[in-house]
Amino acid sequence: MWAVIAVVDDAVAKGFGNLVGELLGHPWAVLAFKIFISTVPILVLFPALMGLTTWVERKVLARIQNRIGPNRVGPFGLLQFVADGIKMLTKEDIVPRAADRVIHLIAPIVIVIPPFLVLSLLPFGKNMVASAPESGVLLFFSMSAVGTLAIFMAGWASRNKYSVLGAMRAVAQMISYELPLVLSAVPVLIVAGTLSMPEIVASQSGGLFNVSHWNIFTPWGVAGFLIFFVASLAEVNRSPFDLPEAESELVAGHLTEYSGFKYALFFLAEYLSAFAISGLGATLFLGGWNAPIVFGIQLLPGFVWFFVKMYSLILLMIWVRGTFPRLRVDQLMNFAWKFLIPLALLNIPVTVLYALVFEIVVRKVNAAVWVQSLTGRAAGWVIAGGVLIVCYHLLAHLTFGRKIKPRKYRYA
Amino acid sequence: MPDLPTLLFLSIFFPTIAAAGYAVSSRNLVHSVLFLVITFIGVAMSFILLQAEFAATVQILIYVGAVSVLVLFAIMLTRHITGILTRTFVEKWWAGIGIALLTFLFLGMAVFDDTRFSVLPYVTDFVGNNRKTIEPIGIALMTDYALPFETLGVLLTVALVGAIVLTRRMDEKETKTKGESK
Repeated sequence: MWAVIAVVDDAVAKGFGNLVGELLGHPWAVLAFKIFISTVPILVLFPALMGLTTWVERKVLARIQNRIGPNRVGPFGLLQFVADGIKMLTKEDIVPRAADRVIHLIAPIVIVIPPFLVLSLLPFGKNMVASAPESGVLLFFSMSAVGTLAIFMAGWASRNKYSVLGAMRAVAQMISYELPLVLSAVPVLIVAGTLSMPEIVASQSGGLFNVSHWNIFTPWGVAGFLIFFVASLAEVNRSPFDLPEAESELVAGHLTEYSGFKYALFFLAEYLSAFAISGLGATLFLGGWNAPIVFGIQLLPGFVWFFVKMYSLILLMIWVRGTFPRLRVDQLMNFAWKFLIPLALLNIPVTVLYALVFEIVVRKVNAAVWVQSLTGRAAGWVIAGGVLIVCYHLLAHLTFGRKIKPRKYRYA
Repeated sequence: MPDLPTLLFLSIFFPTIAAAGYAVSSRNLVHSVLFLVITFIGVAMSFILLQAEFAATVQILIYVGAVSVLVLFAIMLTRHITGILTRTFVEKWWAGIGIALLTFLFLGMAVFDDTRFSVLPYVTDFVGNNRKTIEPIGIALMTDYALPFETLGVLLTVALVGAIVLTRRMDEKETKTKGESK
């Protein structure tokens, strides 16, 4: 079986485009096939995965809340998302009379474009990337920033106070949390020395069990990953940062005046950006498509590992949604500006410190290569990790001041 | 029959100019901003056409992602203009057009007088080879242009601190007046 997988991986590595190009012959046919093979999987696979994920999310949430969840349509309720999709498609499309009709129509279309573009930048496996520009990570952040605009368009065009309030909240939140998100990625870029995503993944391969070079296994990587994950939750408006659509305060935020297929598009965009940002997290910190434990060849092809990592982050998001209550607006802003951003900024010099300590120890110690790197790593962990922990406690003390005591409820 | 680069350029050029025209003439301020966003995207696309990948990315990140949202915020904060149409022409509109034309003229002279424009390597052979553009920019910013770069950073920090100070002072005033009224 391993041999077969090795052959498949190799074929992917050589690029299906070239392989088929040899078969087809004509350069235009090759180009057409390359376009087909790099766009269609993204356009088909991720919406399908989104449908499945809605089911998974409802099931997992139900389990957390001691319910059963959807179980009527299909085995284990698996076809629930198909029924929901058909319901969405056949619903009446309502446009408020006072709404700005054109923008109301364009907003759900605009909002699905950035996630698809951003997904095309992610390296799913060895050579499995639709487009790998030099400025990959930067382009990812700039594309996802366009989503903010679409949410504003939706809220404003609806001419509904709840919609506008929700949109304003969403824009403020997404702009605030974009800073820690980008800043938490900076250490990775410094260490890898590139903005290109395939090169970042390549920089994390090798080492002990093909795992030890992953960025998560460094003190700055742990801190960066945690900041990245929290900021990404806010960036895709997921719980506990789902204030823009807080149903107890704002009906449904910018989605209030949307129904039918337009609403479905917003839903799709939300899940797609969750996939994309989880994929970016896996690429930056979890080694991308690098497989843990390699015996000469990988046990499973790279894209399987990528999807496993990406989907674990999605499951983590669902778990968080089932566990934490929603933040208040002032808590949200304080948390971003007074805690996450300073911590992410501090993480950058700590990264440099770690790299320096690692280098110095590796040069000083007169031993076998892996012992050298191990002692370098340990020294780096102690020093850089110590600095990070001190910074964390200092920031927490400065920001939140008093110790958080168990809360006494008067009416409960 | 023009070649492919020219066709691509023209297909970006006309929508961009049209969107810029609408951005200036639209009587609904939010529509103006959205047309402005289309113009920004068009400019980013022409940057890509010139193989200035970094400039294109930053154009989208800063102008589409941040500046346009800032403008929208400013519009929403100033007054309730949803549905209210504004004037687009002031009495001395010809002065504005004159200044714009002069600026364009000087910029154009700076670009076209110089023979460098015609021999820009990115312009002459923009299809094909995958040239690295970001690394040289980064190295230049950290070596030759380190001082201007750092100065800009300080300037932006000052602006940020200034904004916080301004809002804070207003806050204190409000609380003071509230205290007095009590």
